[in-house]
Amino acid sequence: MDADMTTSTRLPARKRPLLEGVRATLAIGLSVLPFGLAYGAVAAQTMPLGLVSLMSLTVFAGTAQFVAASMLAQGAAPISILVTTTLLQLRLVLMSASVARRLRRVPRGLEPALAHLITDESFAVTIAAMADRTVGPRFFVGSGLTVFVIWQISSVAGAWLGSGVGEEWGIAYAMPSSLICLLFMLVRDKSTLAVSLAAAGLCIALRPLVGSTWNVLLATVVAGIGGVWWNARRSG
Amino acid sequence: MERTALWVTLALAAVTLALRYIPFATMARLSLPDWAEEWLRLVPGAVLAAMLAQTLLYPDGQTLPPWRNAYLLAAGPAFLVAWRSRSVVATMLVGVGSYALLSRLLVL
Repeated sequence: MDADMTTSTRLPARKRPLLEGVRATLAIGLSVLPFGLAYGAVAAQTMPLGLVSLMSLTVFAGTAQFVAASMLAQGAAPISILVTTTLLQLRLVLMSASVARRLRRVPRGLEPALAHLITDESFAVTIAAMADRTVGPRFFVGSGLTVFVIWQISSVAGAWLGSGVGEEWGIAYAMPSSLICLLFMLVRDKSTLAVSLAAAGLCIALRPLVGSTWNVLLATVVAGIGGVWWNARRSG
Repeated sequence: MERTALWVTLALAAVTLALRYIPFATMARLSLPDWAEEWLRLVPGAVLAAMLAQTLLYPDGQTLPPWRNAYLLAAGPAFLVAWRSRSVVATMLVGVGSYALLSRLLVL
């Protein structure tokens, strides 16, 4: 993809890059809304509103928040919650490396703030925009802030709605429903599908041997290594 | 519980910021070998699938026969809708609705 992105074919940067970033992100940003509502509703069953919101502000990563909130509700050990969510978040390193390499002239002091705005959505929008024009830090900030604001509002709204709705409405099932949606988004080709299925099977098989917290981690790591090995063997 | 949740939240925030910021801080120096990039790409879906399998088969840590397990049964319609519609809203409504209905029917 880099090959056809020569400077000569790029359009010049637009005049108000921040606003342009906001505009380019609004549609995909709104797709975050149901996840935010669901996260808030599920988390509010066991956490006070302040904590539900604090997690959205400081972690700002939907899938990890979902998993952390539900593992907390199940009373899982903190260390296993951290390891599981870290594995889930490893893809942030890839996205961040890709954004960092392409965004130039970011003031050093602002780097942590910019890094905090990296999400699947802001990443996708920014990389897509980079394909046909020069995109600077301002565009990315506009994009990231759009997702950030939608996420904060929707998770607080979800917490508020969720705490008023009784268990009999099946709110607890917002969690598995979200996992199902996220899985469909992450599993895009044969190798991710095969590895995910293997991890699910291994996790259940390992449960009697290593218990119900470490089986998820062990199954994931092993299935991931298996996938790398399988792909290398097939192509090499 | 609340205290644990607070600490987990703060630790999770620190880890997440590190994962997001390290590439910015190291920029050019960070270039991962292909197998590592491949592994990082495969792992998130695997975590979700493993968690989902465990959540559906052992809700609340119990073992239930599949036909009495509302969690597992409600996943059928939810999967179908997610696959056909790719809509988050539709999947959640169908998932939550099926679960509410099934958990009531199965108590009887």
